[in-house]
Amino acid sequence: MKNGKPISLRPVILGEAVSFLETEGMECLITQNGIVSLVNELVNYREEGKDLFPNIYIVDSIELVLKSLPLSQHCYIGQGEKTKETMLRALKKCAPLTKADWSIYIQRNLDNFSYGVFRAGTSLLSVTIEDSLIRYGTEEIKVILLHQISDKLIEIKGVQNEPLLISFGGREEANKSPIENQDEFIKTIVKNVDCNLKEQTSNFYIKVFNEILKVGHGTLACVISGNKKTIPKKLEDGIILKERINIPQIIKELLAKDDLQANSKLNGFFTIIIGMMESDGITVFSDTGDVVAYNVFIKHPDSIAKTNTSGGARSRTFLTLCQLIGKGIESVYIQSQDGKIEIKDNE
Amino acid sequence: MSNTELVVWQNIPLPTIPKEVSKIEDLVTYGVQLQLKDKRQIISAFNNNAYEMVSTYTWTKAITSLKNQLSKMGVSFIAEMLDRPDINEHTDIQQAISEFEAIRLAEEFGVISGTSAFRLKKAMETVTHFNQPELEEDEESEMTQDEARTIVRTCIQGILGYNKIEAAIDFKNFRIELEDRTLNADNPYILKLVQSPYFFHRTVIRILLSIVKTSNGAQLENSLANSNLIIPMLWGNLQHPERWQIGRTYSELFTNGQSIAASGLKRVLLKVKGFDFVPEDLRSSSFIKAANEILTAHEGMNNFYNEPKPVSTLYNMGSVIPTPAFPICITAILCVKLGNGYGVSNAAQDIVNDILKNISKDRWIYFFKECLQYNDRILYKLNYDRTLDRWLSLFDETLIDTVLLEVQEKDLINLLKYTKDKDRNRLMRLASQMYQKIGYANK
Repeated sequence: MKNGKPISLRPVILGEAVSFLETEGMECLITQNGIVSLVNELVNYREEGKDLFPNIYIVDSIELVLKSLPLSQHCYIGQGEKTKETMLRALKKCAPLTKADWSIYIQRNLDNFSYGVFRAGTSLLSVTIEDSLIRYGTEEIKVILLHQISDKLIEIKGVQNEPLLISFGGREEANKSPIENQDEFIKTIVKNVDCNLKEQTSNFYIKVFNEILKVGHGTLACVISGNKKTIPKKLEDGIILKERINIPQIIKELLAKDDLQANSKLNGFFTIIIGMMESDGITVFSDTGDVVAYNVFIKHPDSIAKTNTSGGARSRTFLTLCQLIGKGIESVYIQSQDGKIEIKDNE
Repeated sequence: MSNTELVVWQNIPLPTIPKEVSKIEDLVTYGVQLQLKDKRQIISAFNNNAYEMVSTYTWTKAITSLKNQLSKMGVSFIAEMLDRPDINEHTDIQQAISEFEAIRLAEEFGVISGTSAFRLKKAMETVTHFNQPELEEDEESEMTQDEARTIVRTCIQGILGYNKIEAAIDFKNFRIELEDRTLNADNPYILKLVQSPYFFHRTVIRILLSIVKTSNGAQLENSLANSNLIIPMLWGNLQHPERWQIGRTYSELFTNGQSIAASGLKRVLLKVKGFDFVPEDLRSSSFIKAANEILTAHEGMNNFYNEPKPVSTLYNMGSVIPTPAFPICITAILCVKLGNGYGVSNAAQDIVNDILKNISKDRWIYFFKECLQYNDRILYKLNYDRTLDRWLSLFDETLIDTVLLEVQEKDLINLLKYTKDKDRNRLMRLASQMYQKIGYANK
C-alpha cells in the first residue's frame, strides 16, 4: 500500500508569520505559533452553530491602544500562560462577545498573555479601530490584526507589512484582497459627493460592504450618474425608490446635530441598505452617494444568455451590466457567495 | 507689548483722528463707515445731552461691524479660535460671541492694535454699565459728556474710521503658509513664533486645528505636517486649556470619521505623549457649552440680569466638572464672582458660591498651576480695583499656602503671595504685567 502525501499549510503560514512579526518589530516564538493556530481556528469560525467574524488584535500595550482610541471601552476577560493555548482560549472566550463592534485583544506581557474585548467611537461615522491602528497606524503602537474577511480567506495586517492573505479555498487571485476591489467600487459611489463629506460617506459604505462580505451573500450592484433624476430604462424592472436614500445628507445632519435621532437614522439606513444588497437582483447607487433602487432585474442579451459562464445568472447579469458602462452606468460590482469580487468601471 | 518685541504679526495702527479733534461734529466726519443719517443722529443726540443713547448707538454700530468682519473669516475658523465647540455653521456670530471675545479676536489677528483693543474694552464696560436697567435714576448714574465723547472717538478710531478692517498682512500670510506649504524649523515664521508671546502660540495652535478640521487633500497634508512640527515645539509651554483643545479636536475628528486628519493628530499626540488630554467621554462638551453661555452673558449687555440663568444651568449639571471642561468653567464662574468694575450680579452670587464651595483643593491647585498664567479674562479683572478687591476676599490663607507648595512659576508664586498679603498695588501691577506677557496690550 502506498503512503499518502501529506500537504500542510502550517510551515508556509509559520514562515510568513515569522517574517511578518520581524517586520513589525514584534518577534516572538510563542506569538508566531499562536498566529498559525489562530489562523487555523478563524477559518469559518462558528460558535453554537453561528458564524462569527471576530477581529483579533495582538498588541503590546492595550493601555496605549485604548488611550489612542477616543471614547473607547474595554472589558478584561482573563489571562494565562504565555502559550498558544492561551491565545486560542482568548478567541474561544471572547469571540461570542464580538457580534456588534467589539474586537478581541491579546496583550503580550513579559510572562503571560492577557485578553479581553474593546471598542471605540460613538457612531457608524467614527473611524474604525482597524483604520486607526493599522491603516493609519504608527510604529509606536505595536499591533497585528487577524481576521476572516470572506469565505475561507484570512487576512493578517500590521502597520509595517503589506496585508498577508491566507486562502483556504481554491480561489484564483488570492493574492489580491477582495477589499481592494470593494474600495475601488466605493470610490465610484462617492465620486461626486461633497468633498467635506466624501471620507465619511466612503467609510459608511465600506462598513456596509464589509457586512455583506462577511455574511457570504452574493450581491450585484452598479453606480449611475447622480445628475440623472431618472433611472436608465434598462434598470427600471425593480424597486425604484421614490425618495433616494441620500446618505451624505444624513451624515451631514449627524455631523451638525450630533444627536441620537440623527445617529439612529444613519443606523437605520445601514441595516436597510444591507438588506437591499442581500436581496436578489441589482442594487443601484448614484455617484453622489445615494441608494437609488434595489431588487432590479435586467434582461440578458442573447449573446450573453448563451455564454457558458460558470457563475450562473449573477455572472451573466454582471456581463450584461458591463456592456452598459458608459451608457448610463458608471461602474459595476459583483460579489459571489465565496467572497470573490469583481468590478468594472468607466476608466 | 513693546514695539521692539519679536512677534509673528501685528497691527500697525494708522492715525485716523488727530489728537486735537474733540468736537462731536468733527469726530463723526472721520467715521467713514457711518452713513450721513448716522452722523446726523449722533450729533443731534450728543447735542441734546442724550449721552447713553449716542454711545450705545455708536458702540452697537462699531461692534456689529467688527463681528461682521470677523465672521467673514469663516464661522468654523472663529469657533476654533475661541475654542467654542458649540458654534457651528448655523450659528449667528452676532449673537453667539461676546463683545469681549470679538475685541480679543480682533487684537489676536492684528485686525486692531493692542491700544485700540484696550480702549474698546474700556468703552464696552462703560456702555454696558450705563445700560443696566436697575441703575438708579439720579444724576450720578448718568453718563457724562466726556465719557460719551471718548466712546464715540474710540469706536471711530478703532473700527468705524476704516472702510474695511482686516487682519494684519503677516497674520494672513502665515495662515496661508500653514495651509499651503510644509514648513520647516528654519522658516522665519517658525523662528519668530517660538519667541513670541503666548497668545501667538495659542492662536497658531487654533489656526492649525481649524485647518486640520476643515481642509482636504494637499492642504490637510500640509497642515498635519505643520502641526507635527509646531505643536511639539510649543507643547512644553502650552497650558492645559490648549492641550485639552488639541485632545478634544482629535476625539472629534475620530468620532466624525475624518480618518486622515485624526491619524495626523494621533502622531502629534504620540510625539508629545499627550493622550492624557483626549477626553474620555462627551460630557465635557456640555459643560464647555454651559460655561461659554455664562461668559456670553457676562460680557454682554444687561449682564447682571442675564448671568443667573446660565449659572444655574451649569450648577444643575452636577458638582463634578469634567477635567477637560474645568478651565473654561472655573473661568466663567470666577468672572461672575469677580463681576466687573461696576459690581456683580447679586442674583447669581448664591449659586456661584455654591459651585465654588464644591471645588476641591486639588482642583484649585490645578487652576493656579495650569489655568491662570495665561488666563487673559481673569488677569484682566485683576487690573481693576473693585474686581481685585473681590479676588482678595476669595481665597483663605490655608488654601493659598497649600497651592504655594505646588506652584513653581515665579509670577504665580508672587501672585499668590500678594493675594495672601492682600497687597493690592503689587498684585495689580503683577497682573498687568502678566496680561501683557500673554501678548495683549494694557495701555
